[in-house]
Amino acid sequence: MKINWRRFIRPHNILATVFIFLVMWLTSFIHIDHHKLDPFTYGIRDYDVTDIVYSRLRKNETVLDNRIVLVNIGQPDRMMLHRMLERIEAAQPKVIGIDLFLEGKKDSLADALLQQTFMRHQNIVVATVLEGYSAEKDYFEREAGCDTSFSSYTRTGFANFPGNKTNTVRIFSYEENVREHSVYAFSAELSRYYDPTSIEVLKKRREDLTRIHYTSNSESFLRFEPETILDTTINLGEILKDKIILIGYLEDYKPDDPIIDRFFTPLNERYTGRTNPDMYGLVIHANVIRMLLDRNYIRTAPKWITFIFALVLIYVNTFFFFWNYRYFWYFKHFPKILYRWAHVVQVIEIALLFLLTAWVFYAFKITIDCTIAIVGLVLVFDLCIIYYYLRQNINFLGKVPDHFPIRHHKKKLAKPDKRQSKPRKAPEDSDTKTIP
Amino acid sequence: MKTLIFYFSLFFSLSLAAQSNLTVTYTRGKVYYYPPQQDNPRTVYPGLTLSSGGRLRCDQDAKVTLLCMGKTFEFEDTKMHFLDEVARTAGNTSSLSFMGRFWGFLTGSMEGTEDNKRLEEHHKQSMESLRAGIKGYAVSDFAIQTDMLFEGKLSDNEVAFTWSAKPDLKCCYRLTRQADDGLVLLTWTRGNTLRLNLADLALEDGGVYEWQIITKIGDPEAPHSRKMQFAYHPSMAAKALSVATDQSDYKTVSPVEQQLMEIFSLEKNSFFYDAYNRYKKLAADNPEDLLVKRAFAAFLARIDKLEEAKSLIK
Repeated sequence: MKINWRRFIRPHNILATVFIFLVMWLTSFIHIDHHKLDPFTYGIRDYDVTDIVYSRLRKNETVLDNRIVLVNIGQPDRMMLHRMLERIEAAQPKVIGIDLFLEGKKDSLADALLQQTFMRHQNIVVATVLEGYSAEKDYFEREAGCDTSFSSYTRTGFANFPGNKTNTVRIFSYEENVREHSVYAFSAELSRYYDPTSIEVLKKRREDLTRIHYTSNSESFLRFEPETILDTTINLGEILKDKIILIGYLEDYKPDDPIIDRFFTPLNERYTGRTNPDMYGLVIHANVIRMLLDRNYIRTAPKWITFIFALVLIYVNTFFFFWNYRYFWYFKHFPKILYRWAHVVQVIEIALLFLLTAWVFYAFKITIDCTIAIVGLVLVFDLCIIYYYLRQNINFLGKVPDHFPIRHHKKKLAKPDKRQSKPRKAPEDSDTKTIP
Repeated sequence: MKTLIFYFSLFFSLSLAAQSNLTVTYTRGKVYYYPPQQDNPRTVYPGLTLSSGGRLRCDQDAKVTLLCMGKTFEFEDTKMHFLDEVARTAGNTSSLSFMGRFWGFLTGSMEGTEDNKRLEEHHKQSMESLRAGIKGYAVSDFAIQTDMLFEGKLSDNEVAFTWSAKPDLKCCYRLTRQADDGLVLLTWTRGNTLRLNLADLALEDGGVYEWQIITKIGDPEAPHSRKMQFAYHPSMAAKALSVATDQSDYKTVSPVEQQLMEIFSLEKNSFFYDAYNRYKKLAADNPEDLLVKRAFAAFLARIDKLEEAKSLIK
């Protein structure tokens, strides 16, 4: 069966679609001070369609990760940290990550002992923080958060997450520039030490920012309290040997406890209007390491695919609008009915789009940025009406035919048929009715 | 077809055997694990794998998180918790899983009783599993030995408590509450058996009790047995049986297999004494049935009665 493309691809539908994209492009330059609209805007802004998948649709089954062990530091005390590190190092772990900022000098004895520990063991990574970002030069001014008396003898990795503390942590950067040299993220450095090939896979993805695939909460890891680590009756070697040990804040918190190193994540049970940060930074790092080691990344649909998807969707909607208008305009109250009907369709389509995005993420771990498609769907019917008025009033648009003309190829015939040489009459424009 | 069924059941037995352990993922404060047939509790810490046959108790302000079959369980109170109940809750036994486990159990029993060597291995594995994977299983530093049969859960049937003492030795049977060490029963007996109908005693449903045989009150040096713990659950035995009888396959299998399903359910719910008595009766009623004989032998090996098991498969 031959499909007549002229029935579907029509000049006015194309022009209306272009008009919609043009309006969207122009409105993108308009800056709205959304702070005046808080807290509603904040709740919406901090929401991602995929959050519902993490929050409600993910499997509740907890799978224990036998490569990563979390250790709570409790009250940050350098002497305690030194004692804990010595106990842990005796158990021969593969690598230890300290998610604490060891800024400045404190107790001289504790500092000296801790420095000695760092000098003795080369498998320790200490967290730092990158400061002073220069957008022009695209680098950070300095790597702070760890005193040079420690950082000179140990590996470091920045623990910053892109975004600030009020935002949900969804992405991480594995490498950043600090002036002329590059530094790895805390989790990337640990992962690199544990499995050097893991970071190579990440590099091949050529992403500046990588979306974090959350697979675990703190229950998916063995968690030690300081007193358990320091208990000499326990043979830690059986449990910690060749593991990645992450040390940091990991209190067995209650919702009212003070917020220390806790962040919002997509695993938060409230996927909109979140009130309590739900995950410690240490557990986020553990999730990132798990993702890197398992090569279990979230894929993002390329921008050109999302653009084409939006283009097709909006074109289909313009087609739907004009088709309705063409065939049902003569009913008495048609404009009102069409307008209502169109908006019902609009709401259904947006809902389906949300579901589709969530399902694609759930099933294939692919995120689709449907912003253009959703904004387009919101505007499509109103802009179609505006376009219709423009068509009535702008001469150039009025002259555009309703269908693409049929082109006739000349056939090489010995005796040309006179009937065929006659120019064919162009189809009448049937859409020149005004809106009642 | 039989081969297919065999592999199917073997698959189930292997997969479900691996699931019956509980992993400690977090502890705060002192948490104690009581392996079966062990007097001294062990301190629990993250990474330890516990057998579902044991019990767990937290000190004041202590907390423990366990992971079993993908589900986490937290305990903060000072009550004694039976891990088989935790494992059962995690498993959320469905018709499929029950039958899968049952066929796996039969397959395991047949494999573990092929000869004396296999039986010894089965016994050794069971004992190690009961003691949280710690090597070595001999517990014989008590002058008076007791049976594992009287641990776990006991229903309101008459129980013949037995121990390994000379028939003419005067022994004192002492029954106390585990929670507060309150005395429930203290009686002297000559011989090595005491028949008690637990329904006649003032025992609490779900309460945990300890019994011990001593030969001289107030003298810890005098011959004595280790303290045995049991939970009194008069109603739960019937529930355990109904798990088997409610299965849709229950009506389709032979009467002997029905009995085996019931016994399997009793054993899995830690009613070892009831299971033992029913096995004994089933074996007496079906002396030529190889399946019954070997299932019984495997059970005896699991409850540390190796010699009795060996004599059964001769």
